[in-house]
Amino acid sequence: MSAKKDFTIPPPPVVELREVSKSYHTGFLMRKKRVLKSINLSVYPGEILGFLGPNGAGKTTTMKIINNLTFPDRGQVLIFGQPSTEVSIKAKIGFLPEAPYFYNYLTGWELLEFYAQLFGIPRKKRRERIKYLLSLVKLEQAADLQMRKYSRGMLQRIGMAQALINDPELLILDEPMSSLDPVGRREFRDLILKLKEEGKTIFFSTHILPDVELICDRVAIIVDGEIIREGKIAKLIKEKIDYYEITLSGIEEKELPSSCEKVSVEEDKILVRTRGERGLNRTIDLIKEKKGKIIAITPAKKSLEDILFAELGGKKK
Amino acid sequence: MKKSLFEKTVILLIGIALFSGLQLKLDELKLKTVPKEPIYLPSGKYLRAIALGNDTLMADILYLWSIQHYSIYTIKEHRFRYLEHVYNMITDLDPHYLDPYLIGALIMAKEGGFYQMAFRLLEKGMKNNPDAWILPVDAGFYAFQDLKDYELALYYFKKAAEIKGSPPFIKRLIAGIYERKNENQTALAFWTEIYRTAKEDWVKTIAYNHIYDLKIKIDLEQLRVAIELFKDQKKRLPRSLRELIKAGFLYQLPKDPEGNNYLYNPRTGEVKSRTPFRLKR
Amino acid sequence: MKVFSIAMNTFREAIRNRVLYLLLIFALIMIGSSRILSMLTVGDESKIIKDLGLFSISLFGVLLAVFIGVGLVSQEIERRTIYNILSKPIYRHQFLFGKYLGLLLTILITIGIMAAEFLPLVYLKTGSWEFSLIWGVVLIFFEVVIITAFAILFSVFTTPILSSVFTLSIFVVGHLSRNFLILRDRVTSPIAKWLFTILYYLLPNLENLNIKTQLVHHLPIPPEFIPFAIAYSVTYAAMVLFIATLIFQRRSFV
Repeated sequence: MSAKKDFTIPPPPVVELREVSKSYHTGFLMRKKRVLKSINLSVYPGEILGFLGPNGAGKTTTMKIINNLTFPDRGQVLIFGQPSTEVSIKAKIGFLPEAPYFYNYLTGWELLEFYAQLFGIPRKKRRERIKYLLSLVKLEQAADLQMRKYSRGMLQRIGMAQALINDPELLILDEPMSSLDPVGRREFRDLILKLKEEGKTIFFSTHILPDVELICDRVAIIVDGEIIREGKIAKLIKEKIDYYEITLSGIEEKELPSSCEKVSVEEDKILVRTRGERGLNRTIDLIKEKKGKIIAITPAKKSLEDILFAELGGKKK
Repeated sequence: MKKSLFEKTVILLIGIALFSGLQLKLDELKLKTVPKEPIYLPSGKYLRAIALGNDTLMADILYLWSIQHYSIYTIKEHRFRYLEHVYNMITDLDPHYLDPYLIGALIMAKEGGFYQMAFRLLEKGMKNNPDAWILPVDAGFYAFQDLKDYELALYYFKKAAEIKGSPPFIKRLIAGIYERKNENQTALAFWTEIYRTAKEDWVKTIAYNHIYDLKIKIDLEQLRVAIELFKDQKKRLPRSLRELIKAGFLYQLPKDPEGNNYLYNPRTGEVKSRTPFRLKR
Repeated sequence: MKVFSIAMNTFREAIRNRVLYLLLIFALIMIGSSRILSMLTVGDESKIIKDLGLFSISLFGVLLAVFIGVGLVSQEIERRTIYNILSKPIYRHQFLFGKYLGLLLTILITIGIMAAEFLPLVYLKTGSWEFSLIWGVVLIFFEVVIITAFAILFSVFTTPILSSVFTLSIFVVGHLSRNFLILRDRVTSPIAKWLFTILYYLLPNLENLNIKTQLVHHLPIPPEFIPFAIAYSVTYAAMVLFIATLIFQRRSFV
């Protein structure tokens, strides 16, 4: 019933989290709060993986664990096949933290210069690289401006520049578009797609759904420390399916069977929702029988939003 | 840079051993410094604790304060109640700072008239600074000029003279005191020594003058003693000085430094020198 | 070198700290005031200049180390700029060491400025350049080397306020080190003696770097003393930083 199986062996993941758990003690009584509950996650080379979930789900913690800024209580974290505690692998990673903050007395150029030094990039190459990056994120004008004067959006962009300074194979971005305006977000999406074309792997988290739908190859949904869904977007959406919205007229409301969910009833038309192809056919037959008129049939797929809300609804006790 | 627990512990232990060893070495080198806590009064100890290694600064501050305090001339009854205490505090904190000993003694002696207190303070200074000749000299002057206690003055000046590097004038002071006491022989011995070892001409001149005068004095004294003995025995004054020799009370007639004979008045029994004293008396 | 980059960045950050300039100005005023005070004293007028001068340099050196040092690491954590650094290929100990060196450089220059006011003042009073005083300043710097290491150590795991308190406590204890030996001699129980001996050697003895009394009174200092004192300071500071690194390795950033 589904597409033919792939026979190619998938390449080894760039990032792999196995049974990773993390909790910390909080509050006056040092109560244990479980942030990540034995999660498994993989990011494959060359893909854009969206990490989706409401605030507090554990997205930032996951990213910090990947960057070895905090340590899991249990489980393994492998990056490029090596444990995340290896310092050398960071030469291939670029990280943009959430709501980034930088040394506000430095100018944009000086900041990039400093970080470039931390990668050991030689001087001449630094100059070229910084120039290139500043034009990439459209901050050439602000290069000599102290970062205390940068707007939120500018900080986000310089953050992206510093994440790219070492031309990393893997990009980890935590809520990269949260403070950008629609134009900025558009530019950002274009940039990410461009980077993907260069062969980079991109793992970014967000709680804004349209961003994910537009550019991600795969998505992982995390709610309350658990990964509830993971996979290609198309597949995910297709999984939970399908209902049809039918706009009809010429039939009385009371004549409709209970299988038809009445969405709205107006003077001259009724909008109903039915499940599955069988429900659709039955409704069409009914309309024909009753000599009604079909005005429109709209197949509706559950969006990511729906999936999310369903899960959230389930989680709320 | 993964290190096992064992390696980390080893590094720590080596480090601790290293700086502990250096500490031992530093203790060995023992900087010449303030002597063991001479706690005369409790406050000295606490002051040192507060000072946190700045003992000499604290001494400065206290000393400054003390000068201001004691130079304000107000007739206050108990102005000097803590005088000794204050100067002990200062000198406890910084035993090598000489000024407080000197000025403290000055205030005690001149302002308060507390000479014993002044001597105590100066003695303390001498104990802590055996090379500081100024302290016994200071004490000597108080004894000599103010108290007219020549024995005490001699004691201090001699102490000062013993200190290596003390200036030559101290010996002159000593010689002068002996003259004052009329211990002429001793004075002569000192002046002779001074004359011999004098480096400058003007010192030689002074010494010579003293020796000159001393010779006259000693000679006159000798003659007087002989006359006295004669008078006791013969119940009359000798008719001339030569008679003393004949009677066996004198071996030979002394001559004054210019080679003249001494003048004798047979009626009064006085002896005088024709040659005047060089130094004003 | 990466440590050098971080050191220079720390230096640039430190010289923007207003506290630095405040402390420096106070120090310069204090050193300058010794000139005025010297007019009030009777006797050797240069003594108070030397005493107050060396004291000021020592005091403000330590205050600089404490007030700037305790915030160094905690500020990076609080502002999350540390994420940007540690996500790059740099070892945590390189980061810590870079911060330390950057701060030391700042303090070195500040002490240098203080000394540049101090020495000419002495010259004006005594008529001779007493270069031996420079050694006093050098050892003061190495005392600050130890204090700074402690400031970094505490800033790695506790808040700036607590770090200040702890570091200043270490400074006080460091100058009272001798008392452990006195206490050791006074107690009778061998365990207590043993305890005090350990405390004496384990805690930093900052008097090892204090030659102020000797300098002011022109007392002799054995020539080996200064190199050994410097070696003590360096070794001790290295151990403190080592412990700081160990703690920092395990530190996770919320």
